[in-house]
Amino acid sequence: MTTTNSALMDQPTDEGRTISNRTAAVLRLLNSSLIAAALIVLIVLFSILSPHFLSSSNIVTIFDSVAVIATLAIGQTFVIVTAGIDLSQGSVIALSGVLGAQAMNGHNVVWGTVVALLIGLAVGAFNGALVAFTRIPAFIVTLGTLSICSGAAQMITGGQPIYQLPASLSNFGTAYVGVFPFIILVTIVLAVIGQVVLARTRFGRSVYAIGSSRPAALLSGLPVRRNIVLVYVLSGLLAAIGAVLLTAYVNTALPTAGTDYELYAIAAVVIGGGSLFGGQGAVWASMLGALLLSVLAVGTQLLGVSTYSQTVILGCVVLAAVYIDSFRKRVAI
Amino acid sequence: MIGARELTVEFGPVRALDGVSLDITPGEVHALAGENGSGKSTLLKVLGGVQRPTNGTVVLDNEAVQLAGVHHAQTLGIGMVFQELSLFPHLSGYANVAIGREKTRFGLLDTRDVKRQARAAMERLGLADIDLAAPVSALPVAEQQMVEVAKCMSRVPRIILFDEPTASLSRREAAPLLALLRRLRDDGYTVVFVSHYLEEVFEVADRVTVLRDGKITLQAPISEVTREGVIRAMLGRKLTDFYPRREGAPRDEPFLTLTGVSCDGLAPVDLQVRDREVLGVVGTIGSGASRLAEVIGGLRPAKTGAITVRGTKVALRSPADALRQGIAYVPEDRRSQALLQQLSIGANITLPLLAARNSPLVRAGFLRRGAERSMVTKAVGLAGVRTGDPRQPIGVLSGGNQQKVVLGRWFLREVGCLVLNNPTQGIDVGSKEEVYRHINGLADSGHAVVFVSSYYPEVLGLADRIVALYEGHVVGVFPRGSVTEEQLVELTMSGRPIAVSAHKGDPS
Repeated sequence: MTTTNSALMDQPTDEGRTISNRTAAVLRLLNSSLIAAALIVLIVLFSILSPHFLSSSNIVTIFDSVAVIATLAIGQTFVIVTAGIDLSQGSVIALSGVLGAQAMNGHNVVWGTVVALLIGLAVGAFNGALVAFTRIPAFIVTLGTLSICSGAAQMITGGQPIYQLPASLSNFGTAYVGVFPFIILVTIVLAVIGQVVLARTRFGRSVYAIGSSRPAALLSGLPVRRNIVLVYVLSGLLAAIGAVLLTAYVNTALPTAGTDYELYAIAAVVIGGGSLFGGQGAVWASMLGALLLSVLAVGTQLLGVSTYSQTVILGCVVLAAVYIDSFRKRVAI
Repeated sequence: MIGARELTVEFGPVRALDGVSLDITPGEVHALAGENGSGKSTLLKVLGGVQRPTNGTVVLDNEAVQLAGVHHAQTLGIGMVFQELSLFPHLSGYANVAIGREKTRFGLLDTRDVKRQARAAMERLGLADIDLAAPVSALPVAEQQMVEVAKCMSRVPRIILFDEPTASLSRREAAPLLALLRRLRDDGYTVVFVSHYLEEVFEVADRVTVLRDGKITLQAPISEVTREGVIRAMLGRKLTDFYPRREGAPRDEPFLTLTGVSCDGLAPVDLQVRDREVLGVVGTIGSGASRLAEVIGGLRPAKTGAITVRGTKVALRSPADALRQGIAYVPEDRRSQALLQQLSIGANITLPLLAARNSPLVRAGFLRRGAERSMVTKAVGLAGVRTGDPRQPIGVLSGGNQQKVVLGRWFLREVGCLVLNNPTQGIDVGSKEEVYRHINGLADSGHAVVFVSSYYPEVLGLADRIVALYEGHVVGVFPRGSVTEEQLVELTMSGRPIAVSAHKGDPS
């Protein structure tokens, strides 16, 4: 890659320019399709190894398993592009899930959903404020709220699951539009909005700028702190939406729900080319990353691989993805 | 004996060294001089094994050697003292000097031996009175420099390379270091050093090599050259050729007025910057020149005093505040403070428009991508950025072109005043000239320009007025042509007022 690179710079002529354009176009194609290619290879592989893999019921299983992680990964992408990290997403699912479920049982589904979203928003705002206004690293801030939220969820429920949720919730959680589960459609809509916001808006560009160089963003007059707070609020809100989706799907609110989900979301972003150093990442690529994780999990399960081995495989995939990524030439925003 | 044959070093399109050959006599102090970007530091880095040449070889004792790295150079007896200190700030002086050479006892670090090694190295340098127990970050910079030298000496080199050893030291602090260079020579070491300061070259060097644009323009025993000869070899052309003349002249009414403005490290300053004026600000490190720029740019809030913009009193608490008043700050550290390394050339140019009110880049929160493309094309053209495709990452550009991108930003967003902190640092000569034209162009188009530079000739060539600072105080304000480089050097390095038509305080 380096040699191509220097060759490009050594040719300031018109010829060099067309070469650079063509090379850039090829690279862009290669770049965007690398995860997609890996995904296709996996799908082909699994469908050869197991005829059941491409059955409609199995596809639904894949979609169901990806929905919540993908929703988290949207928010995580924004956070990671600012060079931050949000470890509290999973425990926000637990806390907003149980508080939302309590409100649903006490009042109704809409009220419960509002409560869940408010919890997500509050935790996100708390994370964001600490990251933006103190010198505490995002890792530590969100590690703290991870512990606070999961502890609070246990305290509130006494460690007991909340059952017997309103029927309208589980109807929503298991509804279909055609072959698509309703909850995956919610995720897809959120992902499209997230992609547009990150790639096409002033706020999205600011997120990249802040992650790429905070001093440069400040010197250009960007409201850096406000945008950092917003990014964590977004992440908290999306985690709360994930909580509602999950609660609807399993029809139960567990105080231990969402444990380790943030790690899968981070893995999805990283597989999609997001950099923990900031300035890099895209929502659509994170979605492909989440899908890849899910295809891998469901496929290996179908082949009878034990859950324990699956976890090992997942770790290897994350490392391989990041390793391969370090050789790719990046396409600038 | 160390030397070089036909060394060429290329960084992309920039040729930092161009067929350089030289021989350094054993046991001499050899100075490498030249302007910023002349290739003198690159040459030193090649000799020290830090930088591999594109072509040519390093010669050691009449044999061509391929230096694989700093460590390899060390084993051959070549030690290098870096300009940016390569110390571990949290570790003690002892630990720093002995690092990588610690002995162990029963698998544990032999701290007694570490101390012995470090003390031995310091004594060899005659510097026994430096506190080696403290973390080196707690030492004054001058003493850190000595620890750095000791670290290099503990590897027992015979040839020692110094990269601008006095760059971050005051004249007073530099004296012991210069004495050390001489002492090392007297003890039989070969010393090569890069310097920005002519005085030093004449004070300690036995021979001098001058580089310009990657080529050697002068090489002679110091006794056979004059100051003027060295300067001529460095510059190569007359000052008047190099610095483009301005069309316009400053207006009378001030854009910015500082009254009794102070901050930590800056005594109260009274100053005006007028529309269409290039105000040069000079001073050594720690003089307050950068602080003054930072106060104006909103990076460092003023402790006392009043700032008015076009007659209205303003508070500049952040760069965003300053920008709202039409003041933009262009930082010295281009790489980490001005550029978005992961983003494209285009996104880097339009950056200030992201935050602008009624920005042409934004409609209802969305980026106008078509408009952005045409703005990028316009700014790239105006700034003279040489790029094939502005969608490429900013990193593919040379330093000079990157700097033009940084300046080009402000062709897109309307501001009244630009604060430029060392805008020509680390860029090639051709780009420098273009940056100078941009500075003039910005002033001619009505901007007030505050131009901070540690390279006095460019300030003398461009500024309508020059403010000199020393240890936090304004020690002189000079209209164009009323002061020479020598006088400015003298003033900013000693703080002594000089016998010219100096206007103390603010003349306007």
